[in-house]
Amino acid sequence: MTSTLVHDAPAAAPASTVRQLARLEARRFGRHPLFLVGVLFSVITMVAIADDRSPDSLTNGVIPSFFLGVLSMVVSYRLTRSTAPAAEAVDAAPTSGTTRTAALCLAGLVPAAAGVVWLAVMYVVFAVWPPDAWAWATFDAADRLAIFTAQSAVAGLGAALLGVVVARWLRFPGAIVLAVVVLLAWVLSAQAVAAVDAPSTLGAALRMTAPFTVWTSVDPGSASIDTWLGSPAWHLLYLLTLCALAATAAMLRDAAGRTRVVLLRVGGACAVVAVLAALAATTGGIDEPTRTSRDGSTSVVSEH
Amino acid sequence: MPAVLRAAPWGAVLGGTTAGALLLLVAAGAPRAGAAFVPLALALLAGAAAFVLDEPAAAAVDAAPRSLRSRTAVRAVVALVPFAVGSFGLLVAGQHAAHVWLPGTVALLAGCVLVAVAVSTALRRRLPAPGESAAAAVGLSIVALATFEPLSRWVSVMPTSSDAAWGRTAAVWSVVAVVCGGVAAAATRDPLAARWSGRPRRRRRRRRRH
Repeated sequence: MTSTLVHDAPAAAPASTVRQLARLEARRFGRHPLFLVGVLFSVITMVAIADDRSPDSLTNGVIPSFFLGVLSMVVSYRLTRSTAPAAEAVDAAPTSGTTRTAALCLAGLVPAAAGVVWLAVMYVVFAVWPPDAWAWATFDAADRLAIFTAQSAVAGLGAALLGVVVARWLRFPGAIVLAVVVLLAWVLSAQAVAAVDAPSTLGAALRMTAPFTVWTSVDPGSASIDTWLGSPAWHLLYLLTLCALAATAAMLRDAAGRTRVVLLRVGGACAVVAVLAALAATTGGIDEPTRTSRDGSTSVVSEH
Repeated sequence: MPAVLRAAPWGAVLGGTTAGALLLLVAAGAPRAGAAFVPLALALLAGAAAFVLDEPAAAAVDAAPRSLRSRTAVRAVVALVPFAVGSFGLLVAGQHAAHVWLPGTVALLAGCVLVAVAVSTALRRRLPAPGESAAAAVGLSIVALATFEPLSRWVSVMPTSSDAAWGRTAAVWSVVAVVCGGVAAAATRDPLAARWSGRPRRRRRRRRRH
């Protein structure tokens, strides 16, 4: 009697495959020259404004939003598209497109981590060169943390995810340039409407649905600072649900069968939460735009 | 139309040009809120110009008996499309929005287009289709310069209104134009010509030593 011992090849568990691929993609992301340029410029700009005494410290977040956010969007787009010339070989690999996309999405944690580091450095700068109390307008410590987290870590994560979405769904040359400009136009038009008519609910709604927003405006003479409408904490939740939506949309491109159904359900749930969070962000926070003067006194801004 | 022009990536060029022109129309329609759209439009128009040297059939074209410089010169003509359409858009925006000074912004557009073509020319030596990389690099640089104004202490690099110090801006962009011309000339020189000019001299020296 002859017995044959058959060794089954150990099938890689999906979770470990995603983890390994994500580690590889994160390494590629962290070493990408454009990402390193973004980190470098974030640091240089932060050092340049470290001892700046102007009262617009709440707008510091535009630095990581651009250099970590927008540049990470281009980096993740290029990383995602880098496998396009070898599509036939990649498609033959024993990992699904959804798994590869999930790994690319997880690599978005690299700019998010860079954003967290930037946030920590900024708080150290604030501890060494503390801004005047009135420069924080009406925002308390929790609000400020929500604002800066949204503009650094979440901006990096969200932009990287958006880059993957653009690379997966848009296949024409220059798609990423168009996507970046559309994103910036969306943000700028929302800010512009709010700047023209600060007390309007429309302006607040546009700002709260934009992926980046500023919360204050300083008058040209730096004598007072206006707080605009909206709730920073709800806006942060809104941005996080946008990140989840972006990851879902990116993975949906190659999903099939049960995975597709699950992703559609998750996407639907995220969309509902995003709408509710945007509504809460628009109606929450202060009731009317408030002007804070150098002496700490506050008044309602009736018209801009 | 020469074959070199026929093979230009018209889809990318016209797509970017149309998007840039639309943004300029928005800037014209919303004079107060649209000021920030002008740099974005310049970024899109320069991005469109960056695609003019894309050559998917580079392997075949590069082997043809026609120099890279002459092919680049013919293709660079295509960059006049985003420039012309953008200039018209700026003309419309200038009539409706006081913050857009036509002569200055048209000169800025010309500078941005020139930089985009120069960057594409430099990348074209290594990449058959440098458009996307060049468009991203130039577009992001334009937006960053307009947003952060890193040299604002000395000069405004991307002004749009007539009350800016245009003299210094013109000086900076003149230097940029000269550099772009140099980059384009160096990137399109014939590599064989450089090689042949150097070799005979080295050989003669070796013979004298022995």
